[in-house]
Amino acid sequence: MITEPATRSSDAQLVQASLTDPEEFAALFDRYSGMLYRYVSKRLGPEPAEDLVGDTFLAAFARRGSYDLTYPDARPWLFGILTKLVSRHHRREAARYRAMRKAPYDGNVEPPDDRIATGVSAQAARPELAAALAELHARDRDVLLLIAWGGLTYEEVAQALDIPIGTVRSRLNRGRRKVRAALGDTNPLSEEE
Amino acid sequence: MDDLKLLRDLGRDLEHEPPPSLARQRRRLLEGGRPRTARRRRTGWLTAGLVAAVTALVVAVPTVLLSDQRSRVGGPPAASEPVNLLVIGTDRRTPVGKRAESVLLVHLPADGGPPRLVSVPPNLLVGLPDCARGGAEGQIGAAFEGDRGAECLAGAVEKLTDIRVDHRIEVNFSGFAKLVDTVGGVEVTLGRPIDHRASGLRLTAGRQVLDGAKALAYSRLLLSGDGAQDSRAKRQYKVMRALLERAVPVAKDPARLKPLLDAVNGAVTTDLDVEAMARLAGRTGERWPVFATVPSASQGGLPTLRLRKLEAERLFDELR
Repeated sequence: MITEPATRSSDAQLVQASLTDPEEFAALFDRYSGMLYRYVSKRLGPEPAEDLVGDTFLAAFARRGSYDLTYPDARPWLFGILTKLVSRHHRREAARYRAMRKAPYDGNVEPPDDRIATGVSAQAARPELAAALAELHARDRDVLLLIAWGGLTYEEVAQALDIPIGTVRSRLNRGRRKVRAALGDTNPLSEEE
Repeated sequence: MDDLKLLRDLGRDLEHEPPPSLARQRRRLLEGGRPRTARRRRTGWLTAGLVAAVTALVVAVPTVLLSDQRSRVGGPPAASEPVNLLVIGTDRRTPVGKRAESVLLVHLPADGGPPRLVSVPPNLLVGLPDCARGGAEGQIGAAFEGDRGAECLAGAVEKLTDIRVDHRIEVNFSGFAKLVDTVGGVEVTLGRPIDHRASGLRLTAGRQVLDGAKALAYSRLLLSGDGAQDSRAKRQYKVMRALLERAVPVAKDPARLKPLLDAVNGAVTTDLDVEAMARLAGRTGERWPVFATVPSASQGGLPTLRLRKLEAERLFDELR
């Protein structure tokens, strides 16, 4: 009695179907709203995340007619729209990172001096990381976080932001350099992969 | 330890899981972004070229035909009172006679907002009115099986929801399949392929024309899982809309009108008169309906569903 769809249809197929049957678009929401929510919650916290995810899908729906159907995966497209919406909150985002910079250490974390010997944990390095994120140029931060927090590849970031892949690389390198500098450049050998 | 790894770890610390309230955003999408962005027309379903709501369809197929023929449609529709219709999909295959296979309460709000479609599972356990066979409590669909059929089922729905049912529209499935064939099939676009073992229905994704039997199987398919009733109501809506699109040109062709009218008469039984249909079709307009299902829960192993009272009350309350 159970129906299994024989194959999962591609995002592009859903977008195409939604041109004649708008309701099909909701399947994209079901697929990606959680992923987008998690991503925004990292950058801006949970409060604005919900509305931003909703806005992203409304905007995507409105311009689904111009979706390039040769891209089966709609994630870069959605992340691109979301990135534009997040950029309207860049002050809030920077303030959030600055607040983390001041946050006291968790009691269980080793004191800073031992860090170099034992390797830094993200928790211990949080103030430095947060300070670096707060200082980054918005463009560099977008690229860095789409990769580190959004899980996109270079190609996908290029597609999401509609920039050449070389630009993705240079923005990423600049962002990473600043983050490493803030961390005290503990591992200069990890210069580039 | 590399910087990207540290960043990812930080991200994990900062990450929040999507809350259940995220479903509100999905609704916002389906309702065309109304709640937050009061009038952002271009983003909604409304501008997406939808023709009419499911009611308009059941209602408008005969309306379009009859009004075309007799030109009896009056002035602009007057929206003053909410109107509630009960659309009953029936099946004649059982030995006991007719059975209500799908029951849909259609609420047309007084303010001209989008229609609300509430699917009532026929196997929902409710208190039955006196006209029903077999006791004071039973499956709501059973109310349809007595002598007073649709009228008694409407009574049971009224008793359950405390919402007045103004009109009843009965669509029998075999007549419906013939109606679809009479207009040369209906065109639908599927986002996902369907391979349903029990009914033998196999459809590929993409645009296609379904004949009567396939359109019927597609409409009736009750998939398992949450929202199954909801999604069936949506499929039925989709097919109805496609049917209307096909029926209009056919109705304008004098040579094909008579068979079409016969097919409509064979498929639809209603207490609505032509004028009322025309008014209602005008009222449902081009708005994409909002779907819901009477909240219920299965009762371990039993074929009946139990009403989830609090949530159901909340839903009915919105329609009263």
